[in-house]
Amino acid sequence: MKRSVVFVVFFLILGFAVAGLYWSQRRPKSSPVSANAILNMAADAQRDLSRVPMRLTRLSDEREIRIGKELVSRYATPTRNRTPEEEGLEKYVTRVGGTVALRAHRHLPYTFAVLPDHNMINAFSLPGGPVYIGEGMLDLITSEDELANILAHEIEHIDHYHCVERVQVEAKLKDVNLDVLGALLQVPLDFWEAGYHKDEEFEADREGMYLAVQSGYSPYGAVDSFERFAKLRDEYVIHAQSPDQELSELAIQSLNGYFRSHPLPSERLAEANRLIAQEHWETRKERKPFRVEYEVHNGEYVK
Amino acid sequence: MPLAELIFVLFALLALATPFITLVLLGKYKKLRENLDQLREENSRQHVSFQREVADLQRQLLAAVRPAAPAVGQPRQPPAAPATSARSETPVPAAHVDLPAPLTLPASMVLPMPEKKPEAQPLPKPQEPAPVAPAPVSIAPRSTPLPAPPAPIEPKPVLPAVAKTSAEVKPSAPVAPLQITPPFVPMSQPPAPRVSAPPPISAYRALAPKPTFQQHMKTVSAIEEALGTNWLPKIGIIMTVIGFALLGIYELGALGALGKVGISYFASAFLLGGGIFLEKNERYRLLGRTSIGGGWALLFFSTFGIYHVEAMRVLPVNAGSLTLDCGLMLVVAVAMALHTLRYRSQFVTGLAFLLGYTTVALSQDTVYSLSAGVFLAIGLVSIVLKMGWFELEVFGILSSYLNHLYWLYRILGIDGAHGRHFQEYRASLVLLFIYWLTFRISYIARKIKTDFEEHISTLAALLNVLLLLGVMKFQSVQPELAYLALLVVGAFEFSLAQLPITKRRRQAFVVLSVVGAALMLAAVPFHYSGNNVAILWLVGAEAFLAAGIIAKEVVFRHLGLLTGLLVGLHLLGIDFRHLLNLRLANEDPALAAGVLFSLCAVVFYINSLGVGSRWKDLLDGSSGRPLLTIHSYLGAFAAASAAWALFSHDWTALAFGAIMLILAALGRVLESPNLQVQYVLLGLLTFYRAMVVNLHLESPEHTHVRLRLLTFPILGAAFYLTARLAALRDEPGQRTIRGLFAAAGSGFFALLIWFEAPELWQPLAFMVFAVALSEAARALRYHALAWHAHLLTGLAVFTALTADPGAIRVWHTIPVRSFSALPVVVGGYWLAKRLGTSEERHLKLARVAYTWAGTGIMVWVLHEALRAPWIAVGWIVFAVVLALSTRWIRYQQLAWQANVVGLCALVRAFFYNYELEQKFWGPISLRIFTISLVAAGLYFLSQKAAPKERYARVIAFLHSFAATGLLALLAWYEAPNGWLAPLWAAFALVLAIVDQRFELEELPWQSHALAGLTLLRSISVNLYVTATWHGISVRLLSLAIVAVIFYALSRLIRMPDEWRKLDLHHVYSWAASAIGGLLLWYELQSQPTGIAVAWGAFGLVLFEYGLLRKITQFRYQAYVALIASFTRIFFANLTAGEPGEFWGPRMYTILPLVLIFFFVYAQLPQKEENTVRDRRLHFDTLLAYLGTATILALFYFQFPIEWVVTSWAAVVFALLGAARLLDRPLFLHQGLLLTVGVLARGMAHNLFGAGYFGEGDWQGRYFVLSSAAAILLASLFFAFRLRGRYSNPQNVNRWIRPLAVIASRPEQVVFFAPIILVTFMLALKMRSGMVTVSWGMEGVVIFVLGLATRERSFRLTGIGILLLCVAKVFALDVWGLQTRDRYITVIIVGVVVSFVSFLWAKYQDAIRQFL
Repeated sequence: MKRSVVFVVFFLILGFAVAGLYWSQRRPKSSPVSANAILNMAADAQRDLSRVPMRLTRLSDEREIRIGKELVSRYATPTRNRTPEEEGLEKYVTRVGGTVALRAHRHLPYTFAVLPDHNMINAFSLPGGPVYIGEGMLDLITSEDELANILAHEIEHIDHYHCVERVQVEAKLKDVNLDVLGALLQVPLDFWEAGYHKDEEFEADREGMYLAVQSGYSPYGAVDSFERFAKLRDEYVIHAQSPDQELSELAIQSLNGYFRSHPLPSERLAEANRLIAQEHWETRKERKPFRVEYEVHNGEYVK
Repeated sequence: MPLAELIFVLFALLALATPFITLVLLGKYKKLRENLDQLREENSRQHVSFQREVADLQRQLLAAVRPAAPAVGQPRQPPAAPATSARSETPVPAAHVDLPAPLTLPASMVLPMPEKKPEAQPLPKPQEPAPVAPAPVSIAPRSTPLPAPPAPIEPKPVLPAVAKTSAEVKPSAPVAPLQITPPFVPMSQPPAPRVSAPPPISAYRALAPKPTFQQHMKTVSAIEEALGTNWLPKIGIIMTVIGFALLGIYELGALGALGKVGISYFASAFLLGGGIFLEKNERYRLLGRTSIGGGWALLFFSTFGIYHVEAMRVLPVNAGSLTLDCGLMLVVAVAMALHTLRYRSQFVTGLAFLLGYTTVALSQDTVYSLSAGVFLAIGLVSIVLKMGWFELEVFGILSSYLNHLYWLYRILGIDGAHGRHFQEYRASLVLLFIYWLTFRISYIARKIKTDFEEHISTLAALLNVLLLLGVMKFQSVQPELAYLALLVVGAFEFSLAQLPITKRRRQAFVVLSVVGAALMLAAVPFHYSGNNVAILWLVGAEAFLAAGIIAKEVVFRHLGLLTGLLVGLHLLGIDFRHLLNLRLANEDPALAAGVLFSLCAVVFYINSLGVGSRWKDLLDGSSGRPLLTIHSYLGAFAAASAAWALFSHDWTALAFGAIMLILAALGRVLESPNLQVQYVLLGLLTFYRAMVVNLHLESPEHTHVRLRLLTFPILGAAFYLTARLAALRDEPGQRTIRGLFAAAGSGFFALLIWFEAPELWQPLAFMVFAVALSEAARALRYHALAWHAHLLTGLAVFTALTADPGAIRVWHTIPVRSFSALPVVVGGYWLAKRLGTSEERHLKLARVAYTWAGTGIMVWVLHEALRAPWIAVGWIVFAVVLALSTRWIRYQQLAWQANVVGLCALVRAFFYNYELEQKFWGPISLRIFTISLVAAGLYFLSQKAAPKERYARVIAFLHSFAATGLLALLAWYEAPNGWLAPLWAAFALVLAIVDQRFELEELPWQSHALAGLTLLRSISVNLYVTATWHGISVRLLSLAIVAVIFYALSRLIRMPDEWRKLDLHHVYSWAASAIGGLLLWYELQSQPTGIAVAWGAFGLVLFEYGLLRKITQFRYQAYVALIASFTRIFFANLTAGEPGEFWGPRMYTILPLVLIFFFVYAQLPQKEENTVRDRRLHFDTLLAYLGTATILALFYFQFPIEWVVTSWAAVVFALLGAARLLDRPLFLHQGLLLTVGVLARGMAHNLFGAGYFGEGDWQGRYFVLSSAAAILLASLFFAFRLRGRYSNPQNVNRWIRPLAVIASRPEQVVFFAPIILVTFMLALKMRSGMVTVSWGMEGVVIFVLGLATRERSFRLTGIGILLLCVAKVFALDVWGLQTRDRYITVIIVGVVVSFVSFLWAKYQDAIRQFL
């Protein structure tokens, strides 16, 4: 290359880089620094690598249901008597979940339960059909459509084998014999409450919205939920002010993030809106109120 | 399908295949044997020919040597006679030259006639060329004017499938003269019946070298050719026929029975007509014949189906229709036999019958439908007997029985009848016996011509009876009667063996006899089968001793001495105890005890010293002398006890001292060691008593005690005298004893000074006494006293340092104790000059010690006398004085002391003077002034305080570093936070500049140290400074200054040449660049996405500067910056932006990086000498990979997750294009690597990673991966042009040869990756019923692509996929698919395979050119 050409190209590229730098500095919103890119890729690779053996070692539905029942027995330990309100709440959740579960691909014995913890803003599912939702999450919900979309999301984790694949992976990692009753007791409960792989979450979102819509609910229930999660996340995320803060945050995120690689709420929201536009669901905006009806007679729940 | 059923089917298939394989192997064996025999025969023929030639040559030689005797040689020509005869008898091979057909028929090589048996040879067709051995070709003369045979006609087509008779072979080569051997004879060879036939066996195979790659490829080519010309047409037609049969069998709502029959007949007619048409063309002969066989089979099935298949039934169900249909079947079977026999092809006939069996098997409903099998069996047996195609009968037997078994399986299930009666039992039994009888008649009636035929016949005979028994067992209604069946069948077989017709063939007789006998014999067991009087005693003792001496009686002497011991024991045990008690009570003199002990002492000493010496000869024997020695010690004990008893208070010590002195005198006179021991012990006792009593410790300090003043000098003198008398000889032990007594004497005087002299005068007194002892030592030449002087000097130093600890007594502001110490300083230096010793080493060490002590005391005096801020200054001045003194008096120790004092000044300044903040003069604080003075003194010492030249460097480094350190620390105290780093950097720069002027070695090191501190400071402090200066960030200003100074230092700093050659001075530029990079990181923290691009731009600038100025390290720094920018994007840029935002920060911050990576890579060309090191470290490769990896990462996050694979495929296309256009193999390697990545990604994510229930649209199902595969296939355009361009696998070592092979054949990778993807995509995403069909289509497309690209591997892949389809059809689809999918699949796959075989036949010439 001629030197003059090199200089011209050099200055052009330098100018391009400086322009990129200028534009990036002009953005009003700061982008967070995280190891999400690497974690996503690693999680993606790990998931992809496990897919082939997952498919080839698929557990039967009967075994999956048996494992789910075994896990349910751990959550079922009552710490106190439930209030009529909690019982009514669970009844309500079961009704909505049962409606949504009818359209699932796999006909499994789906069950729905409320965990009486107002600090638990989460929902999760277990292999074989059990779905749990925290009372904290229910406190945030404003419409039945939101509840339906959340429950449908969890149902799809079961329906699309995400739960049972997690059991398969965990059993392999911890050398657990799934044929031995109680072998899964060594897996902590938190494990089931953690999020799934990004792809699986998106799949559960998408398929869950289909399920909810087919069951007569508004897809905007999912949009409401994601908007609320995005707002919560913005409140809790701290932006680093210096490189050393960056590094320490990176270390913390790397430890936590690998296992909790939920996609960003903003991404999930964008996907939900994209799906609504694709399926022409824009008119399905009407939401049903979140209303639990119950009465107490002589200290007992009636309705 | 239950597992057991599947196993059963697999077993059936295995059973079906086993005899076939056996037959094929037997056929191969037979052909190989024939080849071997031919070669052996030809070998022997050539051997004979050579022998003849040798004999002929010998004869000619003899004729030439002896021309005069021709007559003699004439009769010796018998060996030549046959040759001459043969010459005349052998037909001239030139006649064959006229045959043009072989020369113009290269295509005839592929004439597929594998079915022709050697027996067909006796009836050669006129056009068939006469078989001639090819061997003469190798010895053809060059002068032969005939044209060389065309290339395709090589020994390869000369296959032994067409056997030559010995009559034809015999006359050819052996007798032919060399001159006329036809070179073109091979051209007259008949075309090979099947190109895929195995090559002729070489007689030298064992010696053949390892097959070369080319040979291997020829083998692959043969496989392909065999597949294309032989197997595919057969498979295709078979599947087509079966597919149509399935179509007819199953109910189809839209098409009635008539329609299906019509279609079936139409298809059979099409196959028959097409086959007859194609058969005429040699190129399509095999396809045509296969089609004929299939057409007949389908016709037979159609005829069978019009009554027996419910879905095709067009005839009413009655006996007449049944008879009609049976008649029609018989007609079709006969016509089939007659027509197929026209081709004399066992394959065509066999295929027709086999397919007939198969189609019937697929459709049988009632037992009567099996009657079709009877017709087929009878027809087949008729053909077998007529044509002698006994192999065909084996298939017939298998087909008949297995057909029946399959029918039974459908009725009875996998377990068979198992004792259950079923309606069709008897009919089934009859049919089985008909089969058995039909084939048994065939066995008995046949005429056997060869052993091979007999073997095949035996196999057929055994299969017949075994399959009969097996099927009978499966359908057994009364198992308890099974033995009867064995008996009956056995009897039948045995009886048949005895028939005359059977006995014509011994093997048939034996086989049947044995089978029959065995069955009958087996029937029986089958049916009937678990881990005081002391003085008196003293007297007595002396009496005995005396008597013994007088009487010279040893007993008496011993008794006396022993009794003396008793006295001693009494003194010790009783009398001394009494004295002890007395002394414990008071200090009064104990006269009686004193007398007793005194007497005993005298007597004992008389005994030991007097008697022992006088009568030495009497007492030296046995135990006499030891007893006398004991007496001596008892005497000392008694003397000491007597002194203690008789004297009290301070006088006891004097008495002890006196006895000690007397014993010392006696000991010296008598030279008695025992006495020496005794006075030493008494000396100890004296010293102890003096210390305990005479020292009067109970008196107040520094008060005069008279008795102490009196007795201590006396005792000191006594000890000095004893010391004088002590040594018996000049030996170490004796000198030690003397030294101890002298030391004790000095000790008494020293103690006297200690206790009697005033505190502030003690240093002077000790020092004077020390000097006196030193002078005495010099005078008396007793140098031990010099050691006493040392101790006393030590005491002087100690007392000087400890006197008046509170510094109460002062003169003005100066403590008096410092004056008291001055004599010690003077005395020290005096003793250093005049020490009383003659030992040089001692003197040397003592001088060192005394000067060090003097200097030390002087330092202390200065510390005591000066005000605190000035102590360090005083010390540094004293150090300077000492350094100057060294140069004056030439005593090196002073230089060392100067260094130490300088160090003390340093420490003092470090720990004290930095806290002095009061002003001294103007703006200058006391801290700056005093520390600067100390630093100046240290800089002076660094140059002038070296004791020896060899220490000069260390001293210079030490003091210079100390001074620089003090000043650097001073800067820390004086400079504000953010500016210290630039100040230190500037100091380092100043030192570097001074070093350049004066060349002081230590200064560069100080620059290094200061630079290191600056760097640390910059990283740990300046990066976090948030203050501003005139609105500008102090962090930015200070670190920019530091970076600039560092870049300057990288040029100015002085270093050894070797270091510069290693680019060590670029540590500064590295540090500067690191600071620059960090500065960017911190300053751009508000928007983290900009950091990567800033680092990239920084790296680009560094690279260009390094390239322009030819500075390698700047380029290396650029590489690091670029790597950092690459890494950074994974933490900030790749996930930046809002969802759905295309032109966001991710794009405009990462794309410039891609450009930068490739721009820098482009400036590292191979021919550029300036960048050789860069390339050697593979930075060019790294940057290219970074660029590509950045693009890949960008695409990974920029595009929807499922589209990543397509975007990566596009990158593959671009990379291969770049490799082709830019002629850079690196991009080829990247492209290949990425192709594998695309394959992995597509497989893992898009296929196996996809949802279980499938995507909702066609895009998700097919379009994404198809687009990726299409782009990869489009990349073949470049891949073919890059083939073999860069890599030569032969020139690389064997470990990387596989990679080189891959790189040399990129089109293979670029082809197979998308093909694998598409194949798996079809398997996983297609509706299960359509997978095989889609694979078949794919196989055709791939095959056509292989034809278009002339690439064998592509074609083989296409064929392989088709074969996979076939295997899948038979292994899975036929059993698992839905009805409609099943026949559609079979028909389409069959048609597709046939089509490919047609294509192969059509383009076989072109294909063969590429093989």
